[in-house]
Amino acid sequence: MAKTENIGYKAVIIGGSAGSFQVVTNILQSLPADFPLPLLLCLHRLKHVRSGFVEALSLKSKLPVIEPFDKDAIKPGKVYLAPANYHMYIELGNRFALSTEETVNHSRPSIDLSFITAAHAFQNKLIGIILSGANKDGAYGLKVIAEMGGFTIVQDPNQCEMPTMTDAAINLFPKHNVWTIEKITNFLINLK
Amino acid sequence: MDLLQYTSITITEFRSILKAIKERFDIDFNEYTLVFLKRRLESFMSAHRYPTAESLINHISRDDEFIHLFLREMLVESTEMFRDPSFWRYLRDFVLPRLINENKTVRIALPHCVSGDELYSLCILLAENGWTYFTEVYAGTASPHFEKNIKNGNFATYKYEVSADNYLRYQGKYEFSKYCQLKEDAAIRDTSLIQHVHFLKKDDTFSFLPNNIQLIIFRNQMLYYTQTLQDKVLKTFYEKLSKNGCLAIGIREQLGIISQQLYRVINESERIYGKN
Repeated sequence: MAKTENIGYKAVIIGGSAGSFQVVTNILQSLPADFPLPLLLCLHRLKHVRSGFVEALSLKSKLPVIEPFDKDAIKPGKVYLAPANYHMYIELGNRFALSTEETVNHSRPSIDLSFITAAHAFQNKLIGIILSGANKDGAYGLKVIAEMGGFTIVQDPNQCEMPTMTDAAINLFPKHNVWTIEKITNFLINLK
Repeated sequence: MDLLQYTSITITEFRSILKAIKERFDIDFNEYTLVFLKRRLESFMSAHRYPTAESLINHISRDDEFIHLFLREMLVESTEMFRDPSFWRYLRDFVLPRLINENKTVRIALPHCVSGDELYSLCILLAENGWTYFTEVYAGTASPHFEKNIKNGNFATYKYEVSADNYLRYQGKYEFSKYCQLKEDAAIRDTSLIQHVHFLKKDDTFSFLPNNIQLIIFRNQMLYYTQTLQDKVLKTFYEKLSKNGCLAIGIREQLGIISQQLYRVINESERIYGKN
């Protein structure tokens, strides 16, 4: 395992769409109740379905799963899910900012926008992860995280239900760490 | 505008651009949230080929018409009609019946319209329930371009399907196509719906709004404001609302600690508040 522990990460951000729900559920199930960082989730979801997603993710998570309100503070040990039909930005001062701007890659929330703003806010103290998905949203944002010195991981495309998203991320920036879900989960559990 | 294309500027350059706009056009963006506004400005610069902050500032000083293009690109449109159908149902089934019962005429204000989607949704709701003649609707727009666009019935085709879907979930009385015609490259709304609407020129402080308003609909607008500006605007709305007047904000917006003193919750999940 890379020497990534104890360097003071401030947040983990995960992007995914088709085929990522089960993976995220498994990750949440494995994380300890004293997980030390905020975990931000930007997952593509149906625009008009406001409720149900948080509840589904909460079922097996030991950490509270929350859809943030605009300007909510970002706190360690909580899982934040980008709300339906809003972009989720990371503002300065460790807060969320939501937006109803135009879709990006036909998506709102857009993984790219969440990743880019998180990269600027957390710089090299950010871990970015791209999971299974059916479009290329997130590839550009993950590259920005890497360029700002953050630690970047792509789910092994061979493991993905829909590898379009992971393939796009790797094609755009081949130096990402390409890991299996087991390895990703293990890495997160061991974060101090 | 493509939000992934941008021309990077420094914070100092960003501040200089806002200052130039304020001095030249008296429009104040200083209390908009930084990450949002800077990113959007950078995308604007890329889309309209301003390679540097200096080139943009130069243009601002020379071009009288600049501000119209700028506002058109920078102000965020509502995403669709009948966004959050359950909100519109609640307005129809609970809020408006009460207000109409209690008041001879119900004044409704949409202080900031860009594409007019919320305005048309409201007017459809009023028409379908025979409430048009019991209500006065006021719509603020930041530039004559927006007013004209709304009055012409223009509607973005990409919003059609999701809006028709929302209307179905809202459980309106007819078909969405009764109000909006989809042609090959354009969608046009029935402008008779908004005939009675009073259009007003929006200013930064919202002092243009009439007094004694029963309902203010201001959804997903404060997302782009700092907490300070939010509190200022919510105070103005408080003063403009009548006794027992209501305020609707976006589903993921919230009132800050200061503003919470001014309003009480009417419906938590639809973000509807009553004046204290």
